[in-house]
Amino acid sequence: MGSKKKRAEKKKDFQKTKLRVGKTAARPDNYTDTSFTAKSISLPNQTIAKPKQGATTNNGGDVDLAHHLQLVKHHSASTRKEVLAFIEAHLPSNSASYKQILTVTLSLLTDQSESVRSAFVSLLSACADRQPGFLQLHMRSIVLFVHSAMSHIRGDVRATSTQALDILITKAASSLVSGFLVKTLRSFFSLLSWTLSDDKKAVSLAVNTTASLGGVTKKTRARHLAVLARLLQATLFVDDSEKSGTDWTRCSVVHPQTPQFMIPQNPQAFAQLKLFVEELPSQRASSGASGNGTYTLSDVDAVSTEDIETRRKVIEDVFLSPLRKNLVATSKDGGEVGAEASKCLQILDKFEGELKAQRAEE
Amino acid sequence: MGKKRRAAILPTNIILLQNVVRRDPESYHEEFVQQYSHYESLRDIFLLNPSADQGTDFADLIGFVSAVCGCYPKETAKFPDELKNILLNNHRSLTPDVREKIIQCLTMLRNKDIISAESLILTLFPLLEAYSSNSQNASTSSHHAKAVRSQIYSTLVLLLKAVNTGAKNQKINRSTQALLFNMLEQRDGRGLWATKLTRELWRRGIWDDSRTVEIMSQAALHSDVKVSVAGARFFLGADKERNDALEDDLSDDESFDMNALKHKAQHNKKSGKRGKKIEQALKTMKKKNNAKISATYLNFSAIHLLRDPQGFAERLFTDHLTNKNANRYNLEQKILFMNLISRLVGTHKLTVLGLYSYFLKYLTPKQRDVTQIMASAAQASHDLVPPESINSVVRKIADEFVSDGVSTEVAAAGLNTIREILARAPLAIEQPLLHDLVEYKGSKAKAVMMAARSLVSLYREVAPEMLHRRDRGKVASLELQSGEKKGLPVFGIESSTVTTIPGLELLSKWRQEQGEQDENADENDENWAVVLQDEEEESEVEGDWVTMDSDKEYNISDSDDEEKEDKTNDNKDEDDSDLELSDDENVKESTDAAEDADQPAKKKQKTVATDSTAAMNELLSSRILTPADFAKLEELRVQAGVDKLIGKKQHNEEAIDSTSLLGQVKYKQLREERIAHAREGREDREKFGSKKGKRDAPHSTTNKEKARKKNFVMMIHKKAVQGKQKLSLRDRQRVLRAHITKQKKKGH
Repeated sequence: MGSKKKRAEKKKDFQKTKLRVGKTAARPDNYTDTSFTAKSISLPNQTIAKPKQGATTNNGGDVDLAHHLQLVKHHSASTRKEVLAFIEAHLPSNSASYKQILTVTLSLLTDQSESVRSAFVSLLSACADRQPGFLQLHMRSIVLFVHSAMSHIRGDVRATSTQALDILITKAASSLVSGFLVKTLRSFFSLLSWTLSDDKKAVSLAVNTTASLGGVTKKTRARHLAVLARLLQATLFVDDSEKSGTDWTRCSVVHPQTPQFMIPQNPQAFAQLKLFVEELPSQRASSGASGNGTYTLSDVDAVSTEDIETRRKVIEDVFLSPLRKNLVATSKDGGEVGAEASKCLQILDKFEGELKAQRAEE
Repeated sequence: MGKKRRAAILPTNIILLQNVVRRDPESYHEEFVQQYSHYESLRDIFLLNPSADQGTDFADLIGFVSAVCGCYPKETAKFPDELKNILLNNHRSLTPDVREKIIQCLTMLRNKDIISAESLILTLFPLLEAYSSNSQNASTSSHHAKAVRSQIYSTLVLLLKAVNTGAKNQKINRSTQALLFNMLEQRDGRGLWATKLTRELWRRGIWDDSRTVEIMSQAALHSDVKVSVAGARFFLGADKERNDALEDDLSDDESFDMNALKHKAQHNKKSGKRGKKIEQALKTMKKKNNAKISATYLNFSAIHLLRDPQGFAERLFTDHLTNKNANRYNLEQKILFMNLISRLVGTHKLTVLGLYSYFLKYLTPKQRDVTQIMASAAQASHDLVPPESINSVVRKIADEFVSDGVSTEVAAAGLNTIREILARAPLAIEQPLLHDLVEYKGSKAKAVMMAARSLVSLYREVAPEMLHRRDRGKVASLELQSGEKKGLPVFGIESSTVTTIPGLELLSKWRQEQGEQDENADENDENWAVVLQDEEEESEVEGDWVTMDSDKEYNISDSDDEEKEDKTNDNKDEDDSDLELSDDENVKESTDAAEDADQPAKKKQKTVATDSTAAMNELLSSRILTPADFAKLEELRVQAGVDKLIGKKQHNEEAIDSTSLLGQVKYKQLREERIAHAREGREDREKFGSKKGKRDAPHSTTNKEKARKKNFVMMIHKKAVQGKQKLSLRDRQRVLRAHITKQKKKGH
């Protein structure tokens, strides 16, 4: 027989506990606390935001690219390239998803692998073809990345950087030169290891970065120069092909300057005002043209190059003489590079000739 | 392969470029410009979409530009401001790595003196506030917030330390302190960082002025629980921390023993090298002394540097203890505040009368942590509080703690507390209660008995009249009979006013005995040599303040004074005569002073008093006391037993250790402890221990041992065994005897 204590304990198991006023009932032995605290509760299978993953194609016949966009940051270069090719092949019809594609893939402009970079360039041009106005809309961010690639520390990244710029010039030249001309030209100077100012200490890059050392082959240099020539062409001369619709100068019913006061046709026409862009405050007061009406190297950054007159003035005041000096030096090298350089020189000559004619008229 | 020119190798990664740019900034100018424009484009990309993850490029470039910033000041003029702007405006969207990198770079720029310390502090402080633990914003209270906080915190501490090495940079200190004040003005928990920073800087001895203490007093009065508790902790523990840190520093540096070096120099062969070594050691020693214990490093405790201790104590008491929202604090925190207030009251002799009745509520044996409350009750009592207020506390403790019904531990704690209180305020008890308490000296419990005895010895010293005749002891009784004791102390009259140099009459007597052989001792240079004392002694001397009353005149013997006198009396003919003249004045003044002092103590024998004062005047007027004299004086006082019994003086400033109030408690040992204790006693005493199971020399089992171990059942039928039962009583006795003698002969 068990002891008295044990018997009492056994008996207690079968006794009913009394409920008392003002006290909470005792919890049973097998009670499990299931309460928990969490900052937010999400039920992924009940979400209404995303359609079911099961089908690879949705109603429009488009491929769902969400998965592929994640793979864009894959560690293997070949995967990245293939993903880009896949996206290019399955570009969606819905224009809304292009922004997402661009923001995800844009950083591949400075990718380590050359094949990825060229795949991205072809994707960019494909996007531009599918969506008119695409480049104009995202010009700001694309140009920023192009500049970043042009000043990249790796030579091969720099070498391919003008491919993307070339697409911009071919497909959206006006919005490029009207918004980002000065910085692009500056980037060109550092890309081609030319110097803008005549400082003594500014000669180092020109000495060090010869083609034999930095891996900058003559071919890439020629490519850069070709792009530069197209940029100059787009900057200095009005492209007649883009002119559309009515010729306002002939118009007699309304005032000939009316188009300047109409709502602009191109996307993000007021981007220059930087109303919705976060930028660091710059200490330098943007003064526009200095006292004698000519721009200098220091204040040219703040100038808006919206119209062709300003662009021409900027080129004439700041960039013309260093460009000419360096191009002449390059054209003496001969070969493909020399030919491209002399092409650029021809454009500049044409520009100067027009200028002289203009001056003579006045 | 042909050798390539080193300079011609184009840097293909940023670290390499940084290296070559630093070596030769001129020739790599264009590369730098290229990278700077790359930085600019990356910065713009970043600003376009700050929260996107751009990889490590941006952080790397920031690091690069800030590393070589000093080489191209013109090109990078805007760079620090850009960093600051990014950090201040976009710190929420920055990735943790970039944020850390930017803070690092700003610190680097500060170290290169490209940005000022003020601007760095102004940049970092808003972040510290934004990332404080209880800010509501979810993005700043992520798990990275802690890392950010600690980074900023350590940066700030190091910065302020760097700024304050050598001379203190008061401008930056003031501006930083103003920022801390601003942080404390908000009513939320951000002020906690102000307290942490201040405490750390105080601990390192970088900030040690009253403004710092003012910050912490604001923190202690703060409405937020954490902040106010941190403030109170500072006042209670920071000074000990600081001294510990200082001692650590000192002991760390102590790599050589100066005395040993000097001794070696005396005996070793002298050589130029050794001489130089000694000189070097001397120099470093001097430097250390100058730097650490110099006069500029004022080692005042925080409590002493308070600007308005009375107001502070009153506000602490009303805001944190008696106010309606005092129940925000738990008991530990309340005890903390009680402790702080009582320290303030004791140190500055403040009057916060509500405090004593507040203690009453907590003084019961069942109260948790009651010894700490008792300790603060004891600390809060001093002789300027009306005895009635403290009396209530004493009475309560006596009622609750000291009775026959309570355990000895409790009674001992009660008695010890009462003794501590009465040592500070002897008038706070009535005679009957004291008699009752003294009765416990016959208690069987040692702790209680000792506590009661200490109470007796205390009152033998301060007021023997209040004790029974039998408790007074020999010395006190004799003093009472001869009338030396001045009678009961009275509230409001200070008994310990000092009018002269204490023990001076002893010195003069000693000098008379010596026969005044060194008449012109004050002109001897040796006597002026200040003996280097140990630090402890110095601090003791510092603690020994002499009370000076404003309305009395003192004659201070000082060499400066005499010089002045000399100058004034320059036109007089003989030095002797003018000394005598001034002597006469001094005598008059000092006798006046002495009489003033003696007025409250009328019972003192007049003749003795005049004798001692005359001797003193004679001594003071005839010569200047040298440090050697003071040393002798100290020695004589010790001999005469002036500073006897309960220490020299009751220091109000001393904190009471709550554990000491319990007295010595001896708990019953556990079994393991007892065994261990016994084992300890047996060590190295094998000779005296049992020899059981041990053999002196190795040998096989003896027959005797075999017989002893033989199975009982096998032996039981043997005659040798059975016969024992059948022996007659007498035979049995004989066998037993024989066995005993045999054993004795064997020596067991």
